[in-house]
Amino acid sequence: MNTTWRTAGLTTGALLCAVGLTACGATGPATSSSPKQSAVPAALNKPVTITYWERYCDEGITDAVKRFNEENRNKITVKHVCAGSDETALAAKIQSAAAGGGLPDIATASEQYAAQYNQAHLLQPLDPYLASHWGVSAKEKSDFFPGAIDRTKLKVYGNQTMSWPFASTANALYVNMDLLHKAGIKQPPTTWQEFQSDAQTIKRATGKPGWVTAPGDGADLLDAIWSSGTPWVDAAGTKAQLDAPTTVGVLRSWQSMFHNGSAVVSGNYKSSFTSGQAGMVFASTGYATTWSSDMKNADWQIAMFPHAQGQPPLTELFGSAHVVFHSTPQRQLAAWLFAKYMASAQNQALMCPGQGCIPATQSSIANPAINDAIKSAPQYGTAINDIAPHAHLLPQSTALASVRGEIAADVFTKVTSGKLTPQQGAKELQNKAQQAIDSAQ
Amino acid sequence: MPDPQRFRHRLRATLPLVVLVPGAAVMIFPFVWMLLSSLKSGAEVSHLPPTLWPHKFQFSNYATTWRTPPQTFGRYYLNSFILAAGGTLLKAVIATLAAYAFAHMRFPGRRLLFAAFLATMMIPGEVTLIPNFVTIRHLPFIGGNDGSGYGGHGLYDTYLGMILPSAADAFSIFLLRQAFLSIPADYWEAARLDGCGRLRYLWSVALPMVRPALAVVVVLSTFEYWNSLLWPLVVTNSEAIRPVQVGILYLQGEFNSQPNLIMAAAALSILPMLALYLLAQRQFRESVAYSGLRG
Repeated sequence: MNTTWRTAGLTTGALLCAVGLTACGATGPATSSSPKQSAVPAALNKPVTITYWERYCDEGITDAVKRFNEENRNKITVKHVCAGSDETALAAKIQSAAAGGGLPDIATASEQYAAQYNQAHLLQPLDPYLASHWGVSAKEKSDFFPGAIDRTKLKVYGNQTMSWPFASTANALYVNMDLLHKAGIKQPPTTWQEFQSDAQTIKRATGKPGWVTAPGDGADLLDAIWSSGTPWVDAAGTKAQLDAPTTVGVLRSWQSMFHNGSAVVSGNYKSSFTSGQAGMVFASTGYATTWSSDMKNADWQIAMFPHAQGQPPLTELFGSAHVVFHSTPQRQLAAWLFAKYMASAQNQALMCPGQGCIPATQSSIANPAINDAIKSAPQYGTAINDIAPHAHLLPQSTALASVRGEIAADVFTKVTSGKLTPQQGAKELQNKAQQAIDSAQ
Repeated sequence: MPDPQRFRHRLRATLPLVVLVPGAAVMIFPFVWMLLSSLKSGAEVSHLPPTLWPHKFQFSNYATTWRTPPQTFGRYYLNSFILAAGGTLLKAVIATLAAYAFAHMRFPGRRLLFAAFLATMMIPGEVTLIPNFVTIRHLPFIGGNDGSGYGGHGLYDTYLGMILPSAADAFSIFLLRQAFLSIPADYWEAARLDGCGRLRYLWSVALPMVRPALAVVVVLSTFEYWNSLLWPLVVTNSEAIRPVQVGILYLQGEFNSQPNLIMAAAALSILPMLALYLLAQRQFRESVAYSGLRG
């Protein structure tokens, strides 16, 4: 985990280099990616070929590209490139191309990287397309899950629409119902109080930990504080809010769980859960379909990420959106049309079950492809129907990656191992998060 | 009554084995684990507690692995062979010529230039990624580029683009220079009296004398090119020229990774390196002994 975030830091640095190099190279003739064209053409004049870079390298995406190319034969051809095994590898490829030329027309990006590309003036805002006859109707727009559409227009993008929905997942609670039933519990917990008490009951009744988690899981810590009522940063993204009583409450509860053995840390936390060695685990809804084969002999469920009593259900939206890079008006339009196709209810329904994502659109649920997927993995249905409507992006700031990956992870470890009291942990979290925000600004 | 001298002799012969056999077992275990995991079913490979021996040998994993990426593994293999062979040959030639010059030729700024070469060893690969990319993309008069390096794509998306940035490597030059320094200057004087030029002397006299060092360069370079992932990923778009490590990416879905298939792919990918080791075992041992390098 830490290595990933360190790599993310290095690639962030590399982006700055890329921007610098782009500026230095301004004396040479412009590469195909440099002209910033925002006029929306009325029509595609001639056949256009666009390049698409993505990091999932998944058969579902390959099939979707094939369908699009078939449907747009002699108009648009999408050249699909598997551009990395993870976000950092894809970012390295994009950052290199930003400096040396050869950017794709469209790519997948998480908000963290989309914000960086936007700061480097690489991205084409999508508002002109949405406002044109190529856009989406109000009905189509309202079909998107709130979290999926909200992630496209953010403060870090200068309140412009800089991305379009693609592949979303959400943080969820996975529950081994066999262990819960042995402990006399009938339903998965919905609040943090129930979560703590259920974990202890499972430990007492079965001898197995109620909750298994990854070492230094800063992401779940920030999500838990958020679902308890306090976002980690204010709406402007400039002030950390981690010294609130909410943080102390979450840390106190988790410290107590680790102290009494109802929670444990494991490098193989996912396998521990799927092998029936622990009662509950937090993981992406992406596993709802894939774990059905690993756990076919177990009774297990997926449930909403817990929240504090009196607070509405809330969980973090993960995944990537599509961003369109500056090129020519014709290619930008083709890229937008491809992004629109990939987010369409029909394509989301065909692509998501295999890829593990939850569809961005609510009407996808009625599609037979989704119904088939739900029949073979009912947990996938819970992810779409019960979790997706409550999934939103964690409040964004350019410091989010370091706060989540390093600072919160470190405090999580120190508090759960008893090196810091919950109060000290909250204080350290607040101070270091604020420092990270200040230095990022 | 046992002969104490014989006992001591046996003890001296046995003691290293007591240390080496467990050590060898520890080193071999990951490979055994990889091979056995590559033959397990998807459910068994991620089961806890893990099993060592597969309940049922699933040899079809190898066929699935071979077919899953957009190009078959055969194509990725061929590409990796081209990279490893071409890159290693180029690196050996460049390193030999540069190292010989640094060791035996006198020219102004030689020490400074050599120090500058050595300093490049301190620069992490991430930092050189973007400058290398810009260089490859904007090489003048290549890949449709004009004299100022614009208008085309240079060596982007080509085998040479993947090979060139690693072809001049400070460590290889340093290693060979140290080896050349151990050859007394008298050899060159004698060869010169016989009418030998620099290149002829290098090829016929000096190079055979530094063969162990050259073998280190060849072995390390082959491994480096064979295992490279990030640079080929960054500098290529065409699946038809990508190496085997990139092919393995297609088995690593975000949520639907298949560890048994990844293990099969890893086993397939190390086979050529294993074959290379078996073929050149003696040279490899000599080179390791020469350089003091391990692992």
